[in-house]
Amino acid sequence: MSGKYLDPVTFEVILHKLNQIAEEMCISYVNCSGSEPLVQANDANAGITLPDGSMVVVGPYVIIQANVLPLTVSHIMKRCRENPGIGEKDMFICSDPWVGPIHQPDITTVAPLFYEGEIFCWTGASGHQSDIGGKDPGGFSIGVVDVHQEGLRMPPVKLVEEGELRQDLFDWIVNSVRDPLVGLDVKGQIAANHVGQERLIELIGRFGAKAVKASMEESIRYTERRLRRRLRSLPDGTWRTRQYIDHDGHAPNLYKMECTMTKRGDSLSFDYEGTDPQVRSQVNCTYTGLIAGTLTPVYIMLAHDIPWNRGILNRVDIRAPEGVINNCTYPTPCSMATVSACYLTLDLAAAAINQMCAASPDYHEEAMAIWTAASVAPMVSGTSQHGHPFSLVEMSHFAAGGGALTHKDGQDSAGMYFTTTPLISNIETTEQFYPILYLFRRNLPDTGGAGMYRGGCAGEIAFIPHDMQKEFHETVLIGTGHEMPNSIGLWGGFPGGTGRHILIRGSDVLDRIAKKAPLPATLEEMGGEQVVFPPKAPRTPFYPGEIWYSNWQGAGGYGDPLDRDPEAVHADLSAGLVTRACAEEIYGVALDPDGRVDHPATSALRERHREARRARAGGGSVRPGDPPALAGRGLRANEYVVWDDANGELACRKCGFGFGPMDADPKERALCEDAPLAVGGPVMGQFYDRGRFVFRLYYCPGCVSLLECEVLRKGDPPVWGRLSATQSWPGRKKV
Amino acid sequence: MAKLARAAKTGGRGRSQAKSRFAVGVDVGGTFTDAVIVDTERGRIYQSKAPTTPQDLSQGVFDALNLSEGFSAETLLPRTNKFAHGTTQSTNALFSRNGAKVGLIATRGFGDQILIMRGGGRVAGMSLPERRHFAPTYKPDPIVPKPLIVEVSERVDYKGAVITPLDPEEARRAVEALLEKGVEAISIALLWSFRNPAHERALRDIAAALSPGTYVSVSSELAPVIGEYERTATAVIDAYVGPSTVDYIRLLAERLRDAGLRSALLILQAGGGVSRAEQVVPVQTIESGPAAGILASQFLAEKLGHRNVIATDVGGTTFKVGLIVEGEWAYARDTVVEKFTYRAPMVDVTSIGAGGGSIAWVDEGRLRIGPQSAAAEPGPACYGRGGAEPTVTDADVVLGYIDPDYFLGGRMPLEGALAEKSIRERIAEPLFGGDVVRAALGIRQVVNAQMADLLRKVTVERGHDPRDFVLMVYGGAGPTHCTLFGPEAGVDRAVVPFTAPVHSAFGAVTSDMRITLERSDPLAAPPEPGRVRSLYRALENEALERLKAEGKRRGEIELSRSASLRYRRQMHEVSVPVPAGRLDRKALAGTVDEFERRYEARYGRGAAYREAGVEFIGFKVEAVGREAKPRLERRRPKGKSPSGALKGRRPVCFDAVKGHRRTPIYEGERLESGNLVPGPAIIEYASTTVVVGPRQRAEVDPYQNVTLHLGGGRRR
Repeated sequence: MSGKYLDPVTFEVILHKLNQIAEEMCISYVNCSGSEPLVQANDANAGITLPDGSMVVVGPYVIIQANVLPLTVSHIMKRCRENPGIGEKDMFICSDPWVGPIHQPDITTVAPLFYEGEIFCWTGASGHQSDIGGKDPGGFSIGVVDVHQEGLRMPPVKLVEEGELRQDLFDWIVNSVRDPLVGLDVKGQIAANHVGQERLIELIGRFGAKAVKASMEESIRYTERRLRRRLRSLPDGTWRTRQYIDHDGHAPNLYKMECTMTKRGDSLSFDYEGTDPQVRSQVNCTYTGLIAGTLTPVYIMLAHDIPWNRGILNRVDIRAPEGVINNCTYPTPCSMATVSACYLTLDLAAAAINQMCAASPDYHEEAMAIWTAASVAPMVSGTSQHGHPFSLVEMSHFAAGGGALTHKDGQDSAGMYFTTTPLISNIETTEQFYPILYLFRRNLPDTGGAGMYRGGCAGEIAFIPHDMQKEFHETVLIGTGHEMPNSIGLWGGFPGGTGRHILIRGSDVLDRIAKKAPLPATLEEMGGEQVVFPPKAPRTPFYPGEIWYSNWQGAGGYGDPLDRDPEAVHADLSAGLVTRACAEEIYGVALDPDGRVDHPATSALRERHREARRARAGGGSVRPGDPPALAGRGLRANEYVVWDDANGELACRKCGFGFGPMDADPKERALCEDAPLAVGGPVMGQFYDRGRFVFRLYYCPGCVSLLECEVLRKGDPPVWGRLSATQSWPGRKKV
Repeated sequence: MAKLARAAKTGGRGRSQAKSRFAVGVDVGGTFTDAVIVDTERGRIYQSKAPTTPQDLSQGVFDALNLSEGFSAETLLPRTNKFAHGTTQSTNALFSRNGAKVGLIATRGFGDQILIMRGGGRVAGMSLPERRHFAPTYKPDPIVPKPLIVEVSERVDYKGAVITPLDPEEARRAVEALLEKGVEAISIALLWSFRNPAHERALRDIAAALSPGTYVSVSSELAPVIGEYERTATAVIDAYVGPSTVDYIRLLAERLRDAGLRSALLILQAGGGVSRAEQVVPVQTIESGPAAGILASQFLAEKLGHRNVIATDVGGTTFKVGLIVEGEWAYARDTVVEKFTYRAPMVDVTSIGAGGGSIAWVDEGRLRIGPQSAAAEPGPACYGRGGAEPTVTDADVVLGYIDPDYFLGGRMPLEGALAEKSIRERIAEPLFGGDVVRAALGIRQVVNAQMADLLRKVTVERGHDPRDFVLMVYGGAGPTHCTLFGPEAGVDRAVVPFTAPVHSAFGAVTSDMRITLERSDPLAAPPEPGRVRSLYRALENEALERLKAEGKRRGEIELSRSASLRYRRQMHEVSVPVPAGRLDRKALAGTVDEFERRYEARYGRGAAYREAGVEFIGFKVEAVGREAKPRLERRRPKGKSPSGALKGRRPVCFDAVKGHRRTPIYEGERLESGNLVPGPAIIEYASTTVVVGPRQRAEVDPYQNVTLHLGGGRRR
């Protein structure tokens, strides 16, 4: 502990209070907001930075939203000091993705806190608005080619001057958007900053400015020390991960993103070399999205017990070539960042960190497969039943599936990965505000990635226009991951199910309403014509009698599905989360006539599945060796492969098959099968299949356990990861 | 607490057998069942404790009554004119998951809402550090598993209009399907039922006809408010705890009647009122214990003339805080128990995991306390039961606040050497250069800062300044710590009530009958006055009828109205009082003005935005049937000197520089009204220890409460 103003106790107390202030800012903001993504899904955050923008405290809501504050502050400090000047009780508002928020619908307001004439720190709040002008309602414009078509893009402008709201600016913002309630939100950001600054002034009054400042600075050093120590206790290695984006708002073009994570000692780097160049369409994110996306899983996986601040970024090197889709340059469109490049950056980094944690005996239980890996949301706009203009971002997908862990199932409707405080709207609340009537919202079976531990299921929704004031509503669709899954499994776990947007035309729903007959409650009951919509679709009229259906992506599984406890499969069956077909085909579980698990038949069925795997993968000649006595002697590389000290090579934990030296990827010697994606389940891109992807399965040549599965664009090389050849980090434990 | 000893001497013997003059409060807690007996004629209060009997909780109730010296259940109950009871029956059933097998009937297409839990069930009610650690977070096991959720084709829209009528035949099949699966209780929760309850009522009637003995919970009756997840959770939890709670209360009522009780058995509810046993709503009895503590605090605060009180209960593992503002406590905005968010009136009590058992640890140069707790087993290191981790209690022992030989009045000797050893090895050596005293002071300082933070969070978040409050401190570890957390939060005075050991039982006996009724009916402002009038009329009539059924006369009933308002599309509402009498446009416009005034007071000048439009969301009526309050005996002041209670001196440390200094120790039970104890001093009671810091003083009032003058107010 350093600094003459600080003792361990004061430091702990002030740190605690700074976190509390950030949470109180969040609560104030959300309480004052009228934006659906905020009030129903906490898509907002608040934070405190040093004068130069260094993050000190990240609030508890959507992590990405707070991660953008540093850039906004540092830009204001560079650009606005002389003109218009930065004064006491000023506040600046910003929606420019090159100097602040990830995309334009996220607006940020930051405020300097002065103490004795100097800027002491900054407070800030950021949140997702229901509209931002531009081509399409709802903040996401589809089919555009540059950022100017996407709506209001404010550089930091002085919204509050010496404590007074600038009415002209406020009116300009409200004029620029379709939904006047954005004004309520802007006021909510001001309120959050008011509350934060009041609390900080109290804190300074209580402990003195020097102690508070020293605590802020020390907390960053403290975080850095803690992260270094954590990194030293994790295995060295290089892990590469890949993701695809299946639609760009214009056409079903495919884009590839890649991340190489290298961890050596106490340094950690993420390099996105290999990611496709930016395009004039709806996939890109700016530098802020790159940083915020990468930091989110670092916070969650490596720093849950360490303060989230600038100290993390100090230890993490993040690179992407300028002009790739997750580091795009002006004037590339980027309103879809949070649904595409930024979100998938998060998934790429998360997958690499998870593989590293899973390889470590100490952190094995922290590792998890990818949670619901991208947003899938319909947006409806028009005139509400109360006569107001509205644009609804339907946020049910925030009840996302949780990725499977190495020792337990992922949670169904666990909440979005990027927020510590997830929430979705009640059906009744949405129907009260907006002129739609839901037909259902439920868990969707077979969408949780199969595995020894299953990923959390996705959900499905359907709704019709209701109590309309105009002839039709309009719908805009956003999403990624309909043709191929993004929610990648870990070590043999299958990916979670893919997303879908379907418009049902010509159903008999109006007849049913007229006759007071039951409404359709499943996709199958709807009749009519199912028009499959791409993940990103521009304004489409939505008429009475039509039905919108959407489902979001499930979460990834962990381990070989044939290793799942048959009773757990049975429990999933009775909970309606897995169908009988998948229980038999994917999990190899046979049921007796009473619907209970038939254990002997299950063993036989699983043996047949394994033989079929071997036959398909063409590895008939390799037989299992004698199971070696590995327990207590090896370093874990993954669920099935451990480092066998005795033989000096990686070996199958189940059958002892040798996979070569420590820095080999076990896939190099594995049996390999290319299957259609549909092998992964009934909601695995079937509605969108263009024959462009394969599901590649790698088996142990000895026991045919499923080591890993990959989603690959045809012709792309596999992705690999490897531990460092020398593993001798301090405190290394044996498996 | 001085009373306890005195009661033992005078006893209840030889009193008039004919006249009913006792009011009895009994509270069943996790470890002890506490009883308070108020002699309403003399204003005397008798307290007793008996071990809780988990197998049959009613046994502990009788044990506690029989343990009150000079009384027995048989002599007391015939002379009792009020018997108020707080039970953990429902709380236990929910926490230990041994409630009824419950089925749920839901709208077709929406049966999963109770499982989806609005996507927030994984972390609902958890602290920020807990929420940040994703891997160990999980949703609670469902109370109703999927196979016991039956959907029926029916649909009502946001206006209450029927889109699809309920088919009676399908409804009957749904009930039968659940009965065939052996459910012990049925919950019914349909979309928009608070707007149009006809379908829920039809299902209820079908269930009653098919299986009259089956317990049925109906969402629109329990919580007629917008939000299907929370409304469904209310019905499901009520069905889960209902059968056992009803059975328990029935059994207890029978046993009490057999033992001679003539008055009604009153059951305390989490909403802060009592209800006759036969009218009890089981879901509303969950977490009634903390509510009782607030009621007792309110009662004493009124006697002492304190308008604003922070009530704090510090136990071994949790620190609970509730507020009394201008003499009134408030309801919690969200009721979250076991990660289920439901709608039932609950006195607003916030808790964190901090208490005597909280473990101190070193984290990269940082001194951390909790959230892990040594709990009761193995307990703090000084318990000598194998606990190696240093706890807050160990620091209290090392510093001399707690006498190892007089813990719990000497009933449980502690090992001071173990406390010292654990703090030395685990905290002092890594962080304080081996200085055990500085380490122990540091532990107290950090945990007290956490407690002070919660005090500030609870007050400030609700728009109050902690410096305007007096602390009420109860629970075993509270009086040992308020010397620090009080001033830290900016509070100047703390009251250790004489009822501290049995505070919840005392709360039960002081409580009123209370009915809170709420309806959601979102209306744009200005609403049509006729519609608002009819809403309140219906609510008030129902409340009056129910209180009359409880035996209250109209003159004993106080009614108050409030409404929740917000700007259009916000989710957070501000509760605003609504005037009594005929509501016209002007009165409702005044309500909107008051909403904006409160809004700006909370969020800063300029935050209001009338252009967004204001909405009335919920309409609430609270009806209170006043109960006679116990009269408390006041003792004449006996002079300022506490020397009669001085039992000795021992080394106690308040300051790292000065170290341990010989400090006077007083026996709390022997302190007299009017005594002034200057700090530093320690006042020991059989069940707690009051620490009076340097430059602080303690004062004994005529009721035998101890008021600490902390010197913390307005310092900042």
